[in-house]
Parts: sequence; C-alpha cells; structure tokens
Amino acid sequence: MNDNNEDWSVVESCLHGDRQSYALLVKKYEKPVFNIIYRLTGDFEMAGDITQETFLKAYRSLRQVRAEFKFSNWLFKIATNLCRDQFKKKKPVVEISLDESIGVAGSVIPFDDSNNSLDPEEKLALKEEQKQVLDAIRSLPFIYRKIIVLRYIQDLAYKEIVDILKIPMGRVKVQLHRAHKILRNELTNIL
Amino acid sequence: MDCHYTGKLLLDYIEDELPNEVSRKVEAHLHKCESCSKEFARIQKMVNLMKTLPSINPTPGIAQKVMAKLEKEERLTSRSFLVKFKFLPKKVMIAAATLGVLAFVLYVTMTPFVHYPSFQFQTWAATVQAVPFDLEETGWWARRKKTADERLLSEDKYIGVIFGGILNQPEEINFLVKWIRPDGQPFNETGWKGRISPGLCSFMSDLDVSNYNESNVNESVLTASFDGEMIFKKQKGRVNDFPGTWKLEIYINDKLNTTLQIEV
Repeated sequence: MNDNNEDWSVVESCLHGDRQSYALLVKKYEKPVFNIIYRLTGDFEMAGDITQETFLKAYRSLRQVRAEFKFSNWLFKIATNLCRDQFKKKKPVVEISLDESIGVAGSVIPFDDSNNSLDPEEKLALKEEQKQVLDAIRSLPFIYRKIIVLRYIQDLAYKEIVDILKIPMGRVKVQLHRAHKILRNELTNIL
Repeated sequence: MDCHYTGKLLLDYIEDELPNEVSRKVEAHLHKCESCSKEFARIQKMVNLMKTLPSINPTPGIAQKVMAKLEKEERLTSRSFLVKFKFLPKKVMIAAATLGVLAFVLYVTMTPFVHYPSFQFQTWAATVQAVPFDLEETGWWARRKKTADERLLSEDKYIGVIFGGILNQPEEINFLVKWIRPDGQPFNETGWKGRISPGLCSFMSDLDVSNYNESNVNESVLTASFDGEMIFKKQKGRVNDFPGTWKLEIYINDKLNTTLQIEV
C-alpha cells in the first residue's frame, strides 16, 4: 500500500467514527504543513495557529474530498488558502528571524539543522546566504512566494503544484520564472 | 543555440523540464559559453540554497491541540440534532436553510388565508396619491394594509375590508359586508353570491373617504373565477361627514360572522 493509499485508509477509519486515527495524519503532516505556512507568513506563532486550523478544516471536510486527490496535497492546498485569507485580512508584520535559531520576540525557533558535513566557518557563510535567500523570498509578492515555497522548500513537482493551486501548468512555469527573476535581482551579491 | 535563447531555457534545464534534444543543445552551449555557464551556476546555486533551507520543527503539541478541539466540537454538536447533518455539503445546508426561511415567510404571510373554510378578515385604510386605473394589477391595497381598528389618518383616501381564504374545492358563497355609520344607520352594502372555483380568493369592499356621489364604493373579487352576482346598496354621503366608530358587519350565508371597527 503506498503512502497516499495509507492516508486514505486512515481517512476511511475517521469517517467510520474512529476519530482518534486522525491524530496519525496530523502527526505525519504537521511538519510539512507548518513549514509551508511559516515560510508563507513568516510568523512562528501564527504558523502554529494556522497549522491547527488547517487540520481542523480538513477534518470537517473529510467527506467532501475525493480520494483521487493526494491527501498531503489537499492539506497543502487548505494551508495555502488559509495563508492567503490571512494576507487578505492583514499582512503579517512580524519580521522573520533567520539568524540561527532565534525567532520572533526572542523565542527559539527550532530549526532542524542536520547539515553537519560543513566546518563552522562554512556553516556560518551558508547560514548568511540562506538568510539573504529567505529575506528575498519574504519580499516576493504572495503569488510568487507560494510557488517558490511549494517548489523548493516543499520540493513538490510541477504537477503537484498545479493540483494544489488549481492553476494551469503554463502559469505555474511563468510564475516560477518571474519569481526567479525577482530573486536573482535581489541576490546579486551572493550569486 | 545563442546566449539569449539559452538564458531563457536555463531554469527549465535545471528543472529538467526540457525535451532531451533541447536539453542536449543547452548543455553543448554551456560547454562553450563562459557567460551562460556563469548564469547557469548562479541559478543553480540559488536553487540549491532554497532546496537546502533548514526545515523548522513546528510548535509542540499541535496534534494534541487539534484532537482536543475536535473532541470538544463533537461533544458540543452531539447534543444537537444538527450533528446528523454536519457532514452534509455546505451548499446543501445553505439550500435547506433558505428553503426553511422561505417556507416560514410563506407560512406567516399566507396564514390569514389558509384556514379553510373560515375566512379571515382585515380592515385597512389606504392613501392613493394617484389612483391607478387598474387597482388590482398595481396591488396598491396590499402595500398599505393596516391592522384592524386603526384610526383613519388625514391623508388616507380609502377605508375598507379585505378577507379571503384558500378553497380546495368549488364552493357556493354568500358574503355580505354592511357598512354601519357611527349613529347606527346603514350606509352601504356590498355582497357576493355565487360559485367560486378552488384556489386563493379574496374579497374587498372599500369606500372613498371624501367622495360624495353614489358611486363611492369599490368592491372586487380576486379569484381564479367567480360566477355569480355582486350586490350593491349605496347611499349618498361622505365617510368624513360621520366621524366616530364605523362598523363593518360581515355576513356569511346570511349569518353575522364578524364585526370590525374603523375609527374615522
């Protein structure tokens, strides 16, 4: 049974009254969902709230979703839509702290830093460059940021992005090219 | 393949989105063009930087919080009969709610007419600024309906009574409306005697408040069909000339059914 089929069999269990099995799906996908939301909003606390809301909304809509949709992509779609709604209401004003692991208002953002192959100096240089990249991504208009986050941070294929954003493949490519162009202009000093 | 064209294809080349043949041409160009090679390296570096961004561990306890909220929601909704409908598509719920509201509005507005076979009565006073030729079509009387026993206002031009019902079978009817002046003297009579077909029907008898001549009474039947005679007994005089409490006696089959009052 592949990953997606497993997800849908858990969904079936939920629909037959086994609510607790939904916790398996939440645990499985909370990290990617949270990461997408955090990279889109730049607000650690807000990302936590929207992640919860994503799973609640998904649960309430379990009966309406079609099984041919990849379950994880469906979650990502809900998450990006909630972020978009949040942007419509109010643009998050909190600065993303990309410096090591110090986050908003001094809180610790627990980065999953597993790159131990570099020496400390290289690590520092890489982090500085990553900080600039994230700054540049943060300054993108929301439609381009969505594409960049889904393609590179979530590492989704074009086809999956098409499914999530419900836009034609051609537009995904055009938006990705435009996003790249903006980013390259912003990052001339490190590229 | 020139530099300009290659530059446009570099991202697709990195993304492995080019057909093999085009991809080979780009590769060949990169081997011999330093400038494009550098541009390729820049894009590749940016892509690598983005792909290697550290992921972030989410705030702890998300699963527990989600499950706790779901449990709470379920507890709350399980007390309500609505729990049975919580998985219905939103559109179906909205449609059902709309139908419910419409049914309620219909019930409220039609209530005076639905109690077959007894007829409901309502007096009213109305102002007609520009009297239309076809009163029924304009529905002017419906716009200015007032509750019974309301005092006649100076701007009102007509007073009257309207009553009706819904018949589910043809019926022989015999209605009579008697207008009684405040001094107890009869003023006008309007009646209908005949056969009406099933459906919504209403009867109206009204007086022009300030008109003096004999034709100051209006009457009508609003029904799919009325086959019979209408009765008029008119006297000269103006309603305004007799201030006080006017009585409207409504007889059904020659028996007094209802008495209404209008203050003039």
